[in-house]
Amino acid sequence: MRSILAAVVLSTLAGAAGAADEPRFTVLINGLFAPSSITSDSTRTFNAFAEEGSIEASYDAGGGPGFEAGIVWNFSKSLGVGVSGGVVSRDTDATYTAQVPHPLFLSRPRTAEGTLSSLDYQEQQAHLDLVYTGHSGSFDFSLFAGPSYFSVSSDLLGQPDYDQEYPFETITITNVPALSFDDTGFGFNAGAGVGYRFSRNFGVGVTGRFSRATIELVPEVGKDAVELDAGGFQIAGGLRIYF
Amino acid sequence: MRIGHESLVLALSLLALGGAGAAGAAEPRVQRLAAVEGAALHDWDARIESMLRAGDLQVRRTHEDTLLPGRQHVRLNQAHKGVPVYGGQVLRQTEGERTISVFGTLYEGIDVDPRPALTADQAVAVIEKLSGVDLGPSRVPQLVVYPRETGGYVLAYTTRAFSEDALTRYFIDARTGELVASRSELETQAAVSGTGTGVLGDRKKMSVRTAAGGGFLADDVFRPPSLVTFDMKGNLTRTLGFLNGVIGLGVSDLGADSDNTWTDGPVVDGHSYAGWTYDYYFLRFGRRGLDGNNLEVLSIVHPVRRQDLFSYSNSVISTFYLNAFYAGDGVMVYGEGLPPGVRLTTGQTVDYLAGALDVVAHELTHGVTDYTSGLIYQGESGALNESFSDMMSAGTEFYFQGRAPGQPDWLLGEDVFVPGGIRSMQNPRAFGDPDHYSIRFTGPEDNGGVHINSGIPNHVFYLATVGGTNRVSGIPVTGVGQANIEQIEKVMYRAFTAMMPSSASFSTARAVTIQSARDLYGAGSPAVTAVTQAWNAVGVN
Repeated sequence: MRSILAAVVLSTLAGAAGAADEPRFTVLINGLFAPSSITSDSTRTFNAFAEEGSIEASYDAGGGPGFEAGIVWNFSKSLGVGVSGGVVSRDTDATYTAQVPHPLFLSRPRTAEGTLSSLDYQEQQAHLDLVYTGHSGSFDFSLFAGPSYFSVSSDLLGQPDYDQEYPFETITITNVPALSFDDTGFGFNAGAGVGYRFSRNFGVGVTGRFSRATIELVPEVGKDAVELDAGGFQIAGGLRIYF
Repeated sequence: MRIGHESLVLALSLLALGGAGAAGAAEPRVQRLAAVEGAALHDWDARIESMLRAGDLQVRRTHEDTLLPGRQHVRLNQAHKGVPVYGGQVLRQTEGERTISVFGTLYEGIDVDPRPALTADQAVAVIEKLSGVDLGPSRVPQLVVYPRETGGYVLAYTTRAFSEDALTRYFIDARTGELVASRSELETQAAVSGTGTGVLGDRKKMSVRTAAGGGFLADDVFRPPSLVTFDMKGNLTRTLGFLNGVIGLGVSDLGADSDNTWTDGPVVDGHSYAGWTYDYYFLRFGRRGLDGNNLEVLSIVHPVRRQDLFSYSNSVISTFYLNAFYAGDGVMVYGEGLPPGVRLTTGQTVDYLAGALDVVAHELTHGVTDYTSGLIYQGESGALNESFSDMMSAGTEFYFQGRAPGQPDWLLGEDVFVPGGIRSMQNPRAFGDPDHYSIRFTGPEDNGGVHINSGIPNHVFYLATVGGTNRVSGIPVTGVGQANIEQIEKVMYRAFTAMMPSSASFSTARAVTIQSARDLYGAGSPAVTAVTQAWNAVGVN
């Protein structure tokens, strides 16, 4: 099991830090939504009836909600460093084509197709950013970019269960198990945000961020690796705390 | 060369398979008895009576024969001073006061003190320690005299223990507490696919089952009927004993392989082609096996050894080397072929007959005929019997085009009788067989030419399918086309299994097959035209 990333985030909207009376730290607590989908393909193989069978699947992890939290330390009026972490969950649909070897004849696989929905996909993100912040009255504007770390857990389809009867020309898939696999990877993120401070220590803000990391899920050592691009565009909004 | 299906009749009244053992009073001497007539039966009957009186045989069960009224079967267990002898058992069949047969195994020379030094509880403790499982109070070990495989007898406690992955029978020395023997008794029949290399070097899938003690057995558990293949390992005596009902074949006779990558070509092909033929009949015609009710098919390979060829008579060579035959009741026997370097007078080599799909399908079709038309194996009806087998074998070969080795064709046996095969449906004259009724064989040989005159209806099948002109009559035939061979197969299958009388002549066959085509495809259909023209072309009206 992977560890849960620290739930701290940066939002780009840190308050102004340059002035002596300005807070040097901004804490952000956001809800977020990742609208873009993540697609991937997999081919998993298995042995059945003295031959190799396969299940080829295309996954579409749709947009999903999440949350993030972070903190920015403003070491000058306009520049700061932020760290943030968050979690995004997505519902995944899969379409698959299974080829199951024939029990009586070589090279005569039976083919079945189907779809599965509500597979789990979850990515945990941690970002380290350089943050540029500008101020205009009660509003803050920010730009940020930096490296990202992703931990992705995703369901992949396993060897299907099926019914068959003589003469075994066809199969009926009865169940395709969804098995969870995970991997980690480094990537990048960049984005911008705007905040509104309605008191000295509190405010609200929204952030847009694009992040990306290539993740390789490996169901079995040395075979059937599934590559996907984690991250994508996400928009977040929530509370700002300045001190 | 002809492929016939006559079964041999051999009167074996007694098989002394075991015989007396070797030296030493403690050496187990096993008598395997199979007596069905004559002095041997009388002697064994008397001896059984004597042993019953002495308590050396004890009645275990008696039951009436449900198939033969008046017959009774008694199962007798051997005992030594009141202690059962493990594996010692006799079955006696009687009719009134008369003994019909005696089969069984008796152990002799037992010299074991029947008094155990260990109690049953102590034996249980030993078994629990060995098996790692606790045995309940109902699992009371039985005291037996156990014939050691290495020789001698031992007084032993025996019981079975279930663990998570095994069912094991243990034999514990009743004096010392030592383990005498243990064996798995988990009789599973898991269906498994394996792969094998056939006679012609082609790779194919094998439908088999796992063996209780490990390994795999040529027992098709996937298909609906039982399809088993026995490897006789060249033992003609046992083969004949089985064919004559004197002995039964058991698990140890099944073709076997340790790693499920089968390399014994005749076992591979005999086993898998029996399944393919079943598939052909089911998928093409909806037929379930030879009798339409999933009759068990027992295929026998290696009935003799190739290296023994020159020690046998011509009749044995003809039957068990150069032939394959349907022996009735679902039993198939496949000849061993000739050793490398030995050829027929035709110059042909002969490989294992199980290696030819058309040979297997041909022979199994004789079984279908047995359970349907029952075409009498003489004269024209006999030739029709042979021809129907050839038709279905060609149909099977074309059906499995691309999966069987070689190209499907209109030759018979060409995969194992090299070169050329033994018959041609396209050109029967190439093998001296008639392709027109006017030149039919009229002699007494070959049951009136059943393998010769089959060339005439065989040619009908070919012409109705492919089309062409008969060599003798010059009459052209418009066939349905090779792509539509299924039509002619169905016409013939229906005619021969549902409509043909057992004494049919060629003329009857003409009428029946044309009617079959009419029923299936309508009057005036290409199939009716093709079949009618084909019979016209070969001069059968």
